[in-house]
Amino acid sequence: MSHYKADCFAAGFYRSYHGKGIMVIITVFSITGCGGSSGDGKSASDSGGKDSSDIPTATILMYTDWYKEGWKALEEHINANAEEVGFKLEIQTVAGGDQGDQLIKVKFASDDLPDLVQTYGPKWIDAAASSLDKVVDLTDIIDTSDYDQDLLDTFCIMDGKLLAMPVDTSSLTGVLYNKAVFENLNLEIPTDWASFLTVCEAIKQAGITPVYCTYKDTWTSQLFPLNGMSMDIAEKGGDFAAFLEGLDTNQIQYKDCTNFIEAIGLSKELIESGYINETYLSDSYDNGQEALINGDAAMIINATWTAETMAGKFPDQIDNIGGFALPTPNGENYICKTIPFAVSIPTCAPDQELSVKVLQYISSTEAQQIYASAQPGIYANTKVECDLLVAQQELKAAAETGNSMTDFEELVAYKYGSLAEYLLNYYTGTYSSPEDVVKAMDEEVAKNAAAKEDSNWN
Amino acid sequence: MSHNAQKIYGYRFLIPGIIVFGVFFVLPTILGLILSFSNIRGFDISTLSFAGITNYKNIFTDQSMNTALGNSFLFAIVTTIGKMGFGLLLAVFLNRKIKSANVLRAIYFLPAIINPVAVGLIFTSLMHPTTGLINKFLNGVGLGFLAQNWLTDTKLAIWSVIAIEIWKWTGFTMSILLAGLQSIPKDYYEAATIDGANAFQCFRNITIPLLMPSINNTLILSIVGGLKIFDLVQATTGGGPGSATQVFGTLIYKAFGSGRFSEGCAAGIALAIIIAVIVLPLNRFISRKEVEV
Repeated sequence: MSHYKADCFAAGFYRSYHGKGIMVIITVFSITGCGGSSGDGKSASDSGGKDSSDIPTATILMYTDWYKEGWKALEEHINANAEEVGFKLEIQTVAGGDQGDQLIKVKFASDDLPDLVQTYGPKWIDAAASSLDKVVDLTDIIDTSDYDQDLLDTFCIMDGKLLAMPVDTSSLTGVLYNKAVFENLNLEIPTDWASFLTVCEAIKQAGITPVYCTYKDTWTSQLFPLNGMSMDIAEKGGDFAAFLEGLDTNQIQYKDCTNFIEAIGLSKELIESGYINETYLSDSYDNGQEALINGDAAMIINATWTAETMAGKFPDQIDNIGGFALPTPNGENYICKTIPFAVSIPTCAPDQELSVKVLQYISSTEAQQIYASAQPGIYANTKVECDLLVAQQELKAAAETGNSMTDFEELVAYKYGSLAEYLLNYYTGTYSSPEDVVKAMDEEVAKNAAAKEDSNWN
Repeated sequence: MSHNAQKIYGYRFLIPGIIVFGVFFVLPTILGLILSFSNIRGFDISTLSFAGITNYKNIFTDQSMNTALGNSFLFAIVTTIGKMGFGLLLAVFLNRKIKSANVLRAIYFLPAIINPVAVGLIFTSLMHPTTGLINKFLNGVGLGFLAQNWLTDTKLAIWSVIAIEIWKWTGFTMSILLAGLQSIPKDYYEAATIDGANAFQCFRNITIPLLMPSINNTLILSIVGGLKIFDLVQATTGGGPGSATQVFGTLIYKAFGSGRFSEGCAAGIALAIIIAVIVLPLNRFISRKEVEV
């Protein structure tokens, strides 16, 4: 009803004239703009505004969830030493999830980006925003000698061009659990699906929510099923690049990923078993963190980025949060390693020189160390040293001694739509089987491929 | 001033309006129509190619289309009935000589001026199943059996959004109908009373016919507004859970959000045509029943 008043005026106006139909048509056609922006950026910085001095202020755009302790520490350091580093930093945040993604995509399309932007990396910029030509080639601009070259090759370099620099950690997906709850109930870490359900039952009997799901923030519903995809990649030879190419050329479809489909089914089994919070569709990511740290819930299924966020909120209790790989029926448990979020310079940046200067500093080992000291994690800069959180240590150890796979979702050429929407359709009964979920994904991929006139889908 | 200059003089005042109308409505509509039959990558005009009716086919074969169409019509019809019904009741009530009439009019109108996103956030909080005030109140007064998952029950969610919409816009409908009521001369009622008409007969034979222009306006606005609803749904449920509360507006948003701009344009054009097909005959039908004061 955003045009309600305008429509009223139009309707009143047309009544005064003979051509009644014309104004009705005008009212009708005004639908093409479907409402105002619902969440433009807000500044996360307290001190980023330009002052009277000549020190320029650079603005970086990112999702609210990504503005964690690392960025806060780096922002504080830069602004406190603005004269020395030669610029001030203002951090602009937008809501995460599908809506945030869409906002960033629109900003790419309309050349409405600030000095820097943090995204899932060049492949996301290409696949989701179709804007690879709108980021600056950093190849001869940024010193990457301290960085993991394999990681840069996989995530940040496309067609031989370095298009982003990884800032932030790689996360490991799995189960985060409250150690005290497990110790009090004498529970062992489950190693397969059956033992996981046994543990859940014991926790439920103790009056504690076994697994806290937070699907009001719909993106959190994807972590469980996506873990199953790691097994599919392994089953298809374990060649990650070949798997991606298969998805990008229609050689592999989501309906072929049987472990992924099985994981979707298991995630619903968990819901139907009563081992999760009843209000899982109304509870937010924040609710989940609080429930876990307070011991109202024993586990949440997410990634180490959650532990990093919780470390900022509950520094005294974070050592009580551990992590283990999500159990599967055959005990072949995989840990999925996500790509680090990366900073690019948009070609529409108002002052390219300033943007380069800022990114050079942010990418430096000195700046990355400040970031990592405040937010311990697994960094692409190999010179960075930090003490990992307990959950990070345990999941990292599990990944090194067991199975792990790189997260594929932001690296595919054609997006599969909103997996969260399809999953919730399945959980709430709109879809009748996991096959409906993958069918929706394949259809969306086909549409996106057709929109780019990819002959593999003809 | 010559006769010709006099004739042209008036038209000059139309120029700014025509320019604005042309640039911000006619041109985008034409471009949207062209795009809806085309394929384009991002905003790169050099990639534009003819796609025939593919975009329209994609929209109407979308898995969420049936849900979205059903919800859009349900939303438009029920909210129109609700807004008109409650709006008329309030208008008749506040057309009486009561001391607090002006204050009450302002209070009932207030929701209309609140940003829909803010309304969405407020009601999301109020309707939370465990921490929301609505369920807490129901539990508190012993009506716990009425407590619901207002926005997350797939069957109930669209009705909750409908209720919010009616709450938000009833006051606005009331104000239009009230203006219509106040323009009806009292003489008609006096004459009818002398002739022996009772209150219901007066309402049916005087109020309704003379109020028909206002009813026509609010009806058309409600139906158009209901069919193109987007912001409130996006702010409360985001079209979910899953796609349970998807409406045509959120489908358009989804198409644009996926970078399929041509498909988004096609969806916009399709919605405009659907609305026109419904609204134009309805407008003609009701206009015939109008009576001049």
